[in-house]
Amino acid sequence: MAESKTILIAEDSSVILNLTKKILELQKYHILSAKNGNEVIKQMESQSIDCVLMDINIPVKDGMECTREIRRSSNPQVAQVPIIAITGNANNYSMEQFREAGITDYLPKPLDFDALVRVVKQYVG
Amino acid sequence: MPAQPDFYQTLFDDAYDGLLLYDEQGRLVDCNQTALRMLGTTRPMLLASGLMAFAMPPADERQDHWLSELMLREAVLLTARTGERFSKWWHGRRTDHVMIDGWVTLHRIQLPVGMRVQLTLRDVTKGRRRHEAGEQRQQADRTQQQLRDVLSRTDLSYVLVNREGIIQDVNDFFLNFTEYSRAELIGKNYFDLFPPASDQELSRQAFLQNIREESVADACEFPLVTKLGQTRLVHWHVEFARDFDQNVTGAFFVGRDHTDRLVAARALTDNRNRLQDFLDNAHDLIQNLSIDNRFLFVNKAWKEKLGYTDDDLTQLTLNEVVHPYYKAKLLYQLRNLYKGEKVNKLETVFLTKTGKPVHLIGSISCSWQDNEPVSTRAILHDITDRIKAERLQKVYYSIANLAISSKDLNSLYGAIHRELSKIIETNNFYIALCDDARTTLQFAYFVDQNSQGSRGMGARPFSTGVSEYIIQTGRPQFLLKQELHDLIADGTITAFGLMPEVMLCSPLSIGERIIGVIAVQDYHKADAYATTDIEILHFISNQVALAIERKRNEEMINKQNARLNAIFESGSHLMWSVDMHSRLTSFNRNYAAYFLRRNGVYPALNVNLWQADMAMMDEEAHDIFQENYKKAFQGLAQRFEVRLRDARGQDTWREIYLNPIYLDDGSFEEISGMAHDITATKNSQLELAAQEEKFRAIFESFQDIYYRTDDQGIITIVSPSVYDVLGYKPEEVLGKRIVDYYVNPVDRDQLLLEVSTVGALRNFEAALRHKDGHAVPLLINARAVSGAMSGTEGIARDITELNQIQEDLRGAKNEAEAALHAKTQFLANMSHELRTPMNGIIGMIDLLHQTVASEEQEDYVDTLRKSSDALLAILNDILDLSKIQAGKLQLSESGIDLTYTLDKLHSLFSNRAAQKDLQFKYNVTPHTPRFIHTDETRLLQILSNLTSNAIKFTSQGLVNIQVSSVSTDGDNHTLRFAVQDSGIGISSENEKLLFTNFTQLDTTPTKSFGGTGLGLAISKQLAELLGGEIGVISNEGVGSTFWFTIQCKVARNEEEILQERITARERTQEVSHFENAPQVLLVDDNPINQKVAVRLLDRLGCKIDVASDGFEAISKATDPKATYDVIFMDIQMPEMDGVTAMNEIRRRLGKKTPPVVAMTAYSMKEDAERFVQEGMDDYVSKPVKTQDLYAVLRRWTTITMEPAITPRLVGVEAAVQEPEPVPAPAPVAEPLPEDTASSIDTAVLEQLRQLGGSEFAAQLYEDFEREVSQLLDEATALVKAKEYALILPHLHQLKGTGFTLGINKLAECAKSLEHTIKEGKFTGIDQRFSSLLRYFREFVATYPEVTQAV
Repeated sequence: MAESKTILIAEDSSVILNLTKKILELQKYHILSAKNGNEVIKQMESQSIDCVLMDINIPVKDGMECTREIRRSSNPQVAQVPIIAITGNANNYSMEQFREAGITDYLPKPLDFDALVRVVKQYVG
Repeated sequence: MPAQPDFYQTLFDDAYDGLLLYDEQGRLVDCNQTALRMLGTTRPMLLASGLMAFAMPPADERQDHWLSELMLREAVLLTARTGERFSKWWHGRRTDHVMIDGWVTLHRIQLPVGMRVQLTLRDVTKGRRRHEAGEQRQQADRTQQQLRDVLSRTDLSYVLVNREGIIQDVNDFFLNFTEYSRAELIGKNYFDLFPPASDQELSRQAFLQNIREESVADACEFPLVTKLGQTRLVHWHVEFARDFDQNVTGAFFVGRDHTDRLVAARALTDNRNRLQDFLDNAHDLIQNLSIDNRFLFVNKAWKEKLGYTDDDLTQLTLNEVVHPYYKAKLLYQLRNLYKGEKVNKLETVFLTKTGKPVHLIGSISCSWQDNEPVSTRAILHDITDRIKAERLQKVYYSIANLAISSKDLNSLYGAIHRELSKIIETNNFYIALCDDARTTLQFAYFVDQNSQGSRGMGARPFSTGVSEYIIQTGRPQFLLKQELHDLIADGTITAFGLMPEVMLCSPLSIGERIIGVIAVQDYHKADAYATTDIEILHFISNQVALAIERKRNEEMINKQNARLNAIFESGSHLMWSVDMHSRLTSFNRNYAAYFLRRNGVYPALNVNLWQADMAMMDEEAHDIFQENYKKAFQGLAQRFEVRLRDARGQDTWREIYLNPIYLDDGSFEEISGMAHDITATKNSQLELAAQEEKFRAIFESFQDIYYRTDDQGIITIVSPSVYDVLGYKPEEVLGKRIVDYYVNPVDRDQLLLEVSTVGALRNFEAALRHKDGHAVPLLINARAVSGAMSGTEGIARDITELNQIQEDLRGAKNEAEAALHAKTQFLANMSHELRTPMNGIIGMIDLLHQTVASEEQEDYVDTLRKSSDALLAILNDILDLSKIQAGKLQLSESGIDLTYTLDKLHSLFSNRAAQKDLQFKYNVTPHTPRFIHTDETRLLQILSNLTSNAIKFTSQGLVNIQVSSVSTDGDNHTLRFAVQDSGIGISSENEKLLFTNFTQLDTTPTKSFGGTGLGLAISKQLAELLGGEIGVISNEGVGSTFWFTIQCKVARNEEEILQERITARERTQEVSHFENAPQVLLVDDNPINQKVAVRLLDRLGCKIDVASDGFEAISKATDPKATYDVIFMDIQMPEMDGVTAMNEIRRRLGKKTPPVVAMTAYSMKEDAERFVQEGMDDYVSKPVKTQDLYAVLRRWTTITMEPAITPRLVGVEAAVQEPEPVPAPAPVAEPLPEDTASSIDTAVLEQLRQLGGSEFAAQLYEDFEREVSQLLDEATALVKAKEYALILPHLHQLKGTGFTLGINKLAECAKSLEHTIKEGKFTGIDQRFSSLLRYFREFVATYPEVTQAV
């Protein structure tokens, strides 16, 4: 196996963050984390990231906004990164709205570990 | 510019002239509004009737007028054909009878639809009149001029004078005759110049008088003096000169010089023929009468007028000719004439040969011979027509007056008859009237020679008689017999009655309306009437019609008056009228009576009401009246209610109407008043109002909302309380849709559905939106309302508080239940906790007994054992009862041998009975079945209790057990067990207390009998469980019989039962030592229990390893070197329970797993089955006993045994007393699977552990605690501030993370709270948030233990 893929987890709950991180680490992914929208953007700019797991309800800039900003990036590598939303969907966004914002796929909460791994693998390999 | 139809239509309609359009065929096809306005008609009417229907052509048929429809039509057609224009006068009448003069022009126009002839009708009514007047004047002048010229040519003098006699005009002949020049005469007074001096003043006065009276002898002779003084005798004709308006302006004289005429007469006498010729050409009647009144000569006109021939004349005398009425006067005048007196004017009536009167006026002169009169000459002018016209006029007026003077219709008809007879023959006369619908013809007046004595002929249906014919045609008719026959022949009329020779019949018409006919007829003479008489009849018929109509109206008015008066005086209403000066102008009797009652006097007409009546009223009533009268006099009808107090001080309510009495011209001078007594109504109204006021007050003070909606759900009524509950003022919601206030509109639909199907619903809960936005939970009772105001009405109660209270109550209930649960758990724990040491004690005593060395020790051990047995019994009693009360005791029925059971009982108690020297026996009645189906343990328990008591309370005598079958139903039996003793007995008062819990009859501190007091209570419950009952029969001091019954079935498997018993006996008795030492792993956390079990197993020859908890058990069992034959596994262990450990071992070892036997206090059958289902191979109940262990080992090992040893076993007694322990729910702190579910789902936990190991998992929960603490702190603050919506993100995160970690209760709670808040329901949030906090605390308290690393 070549260099392991890097996944950015945007999640303000450390519980979910740690859990997700653990699950994905077991799958040999390299994990970065961001606790709010600004950190997400910062991480995106400073590192090469293969996939973003994005909680929609993160502070400062919410997941939708971050996604839009990422999609607007001048760096095509950044702009095209797969973004998987993780959400309890408190705001009742429709799939259309997710797509419009640029979200690639989404995972509902509570998190199904198997589904998480499956979806991440689908987009990152 | 495109044509605008409307524009042209307007032009057309608003044209100054009336416009009518005819098509080429001369049909009237259109007209404009002006035409309709001018004619006062409607378009359909005009188009149907044509213009000429409105025309009133002049009688003289002048050719410059449109005279007929035919004439107009021909002109229209001509115009259409040639384009020639025609203009003529048109004279007509509007429908309202206003006359119009028009100038009608026809000309051809070309329209898009084709060629049309336009008729322009110009209203020239005024212009025409002026024009005509001028024309007439001109014409008059012209006539006068012509007259002068003609007169001059015929040698006649002409003089025109004004009223004073001043000469205005003369003709040339007169100038020649009088030798004056015109200038000398014009402007001079005739009477100054011409009469002879002697006559001058007389003549002047006579003239002036004539002018004044407008009467003149139209012919006379008087002398005239010429300029040269010659006297001339001139025969003058005098006529008044009149102006256009027929006022007499003067007179003109036309005269012939009589001087010459006398000469001429003389000449004529000479020449008789010439005279005759002259006379015959005269129009006047000329006669020459001898002195003896014979006719010497009459002219042609005379003979023609009077109808005599020359032959008649020879015989005829004046007497026969003169009308008898006038004879005397004529003769008198003649005599005077003969005396030489002058007779200026002769006025008389002659009769024609047929007897018709001829009125004559003229002059008469006498011829003298030798101073003797020889004859008279008379020139007579026929004035019959004039006289007739005058009479007609008179009759006309008198008929008009008759309507007023005659007292009723009949006398009117009679009077008409009389008046009419003055002008025409009325021997046969009738008046027939028809109704407007023309259904009947009523002969109102009928005088006929052929039906003497009857004045009326009654009525007949309107049919086809002459009268009907006249009515229908509307034309007066003069009909001779032949004409009548013709009409009958052609079917126009039908004959009624005798056919007259002549008949004159005229319609009676009032305007257009024909009300009947008036007719005269004659049965004998066809010439009884002149044709002109029909005109007379027609002329007066109008007046007759009017008179009849007037009289009829008058009669109707009289009737109406009578009716009105009847109304005025009938009933209970007070009626009066008052004029502008406040004077009473009329009143009815009721008014008078009430006036008397109020004021003590009768009212009088013209009394001033203000002073006489209103002044007496109290101030309030007075003001009301004054105000209303004032308004009524302003022309406004008034209605009001007023309270009046009469003289006796009695109050009555009157409803009063004041109305202006409008006259025809719209003015009014009086006010009518009407009052009626409404006291009763008013009082009930007032009462009602008070009632309503009361209900309104209730309604307004309603705390619940009363509301009503119509069919559309619009709020129509709502109580003011809506403000208190929902913050809206009633007027804010009235007229609005109620559904808009529902938080969840579906609730409203559901309510309506319920109401519409059931008609009403109660206690329906729904949330409505408060004006400030929050939801208010309401409890609604609603029902359908039918009738005019159909819809729904209901009462809604704010249940915010109620919900709060319910919530609180629920909380309290939960707490109470929790407490109860805690108690039960406590008891169950006690069972476990007590049983464990008891297990140790009893086990040790068992072992001690086997090692006892001396008799004394033996005794001690025995005492120890008895004490521990007693203690265990007490313990079991308590636990049994709580188990029964919890409904958890289940029967374990099987077939038993009743004899054997009783034997067991007997052997249990025989020692004890023997110790007290009591006789103890049992017997079974013959028909009692031996083998039955029941729960032997429970049966023995009851029997033991009762027997134990019996022995306890009996100091001497006997204890006897009697068993009998008291009733049978096939295999079903009711068995009765009675335990009889000869003990101390029980008083009847105490009997009642016997079977209650914890009751001991002796409660003194020094009580002589021990026990828990639960025995009988338990027995009672058990007996009931077994389908029977329990009771006691006792005599204090003599003894008691405790009895109970059970329901049971006969058992048929007798062999099996017997075999089982034998096996059991063998089992209990043969406990062997295992030769080849089975390898046993004992898992128990409790050192005492370990010790007991180890010793017991050791004695059975086992090799024993001990594990103190599940984990150790797993590691030992899975040690590769381990070769266990059996694992004894305690179920209840801290940290890891036995089942979990077993499962883990099984998982790891698979098929190599040795049999695992559960050791548990869960000894009930269903519990045991459950453990087996969960994977245990077998079970033994605690406290463990040697023989149980032995049986299990023998079952699960294939090891040969040593010869039996006979250990000192816990005997049958122990087995019987061994309770079925209450299943002990795990203590709260103990991490049993079902309990952890309350805070953490172990499956999730396990998954997490597998994922990242225990530590990782534990770390996750710690993180969760920290994170959620922070979240909940924030949320708590927000909840306190009632900012519920703001905690949604917190709840959301809590939910997501909680479920992910399997902290399900907490997550569920967060989820539902989130849902509720999202729906906008904010009630009860505080409580539910508290629950959330509680779940969290629970989690915090329990999770470390659960998630601890293994």
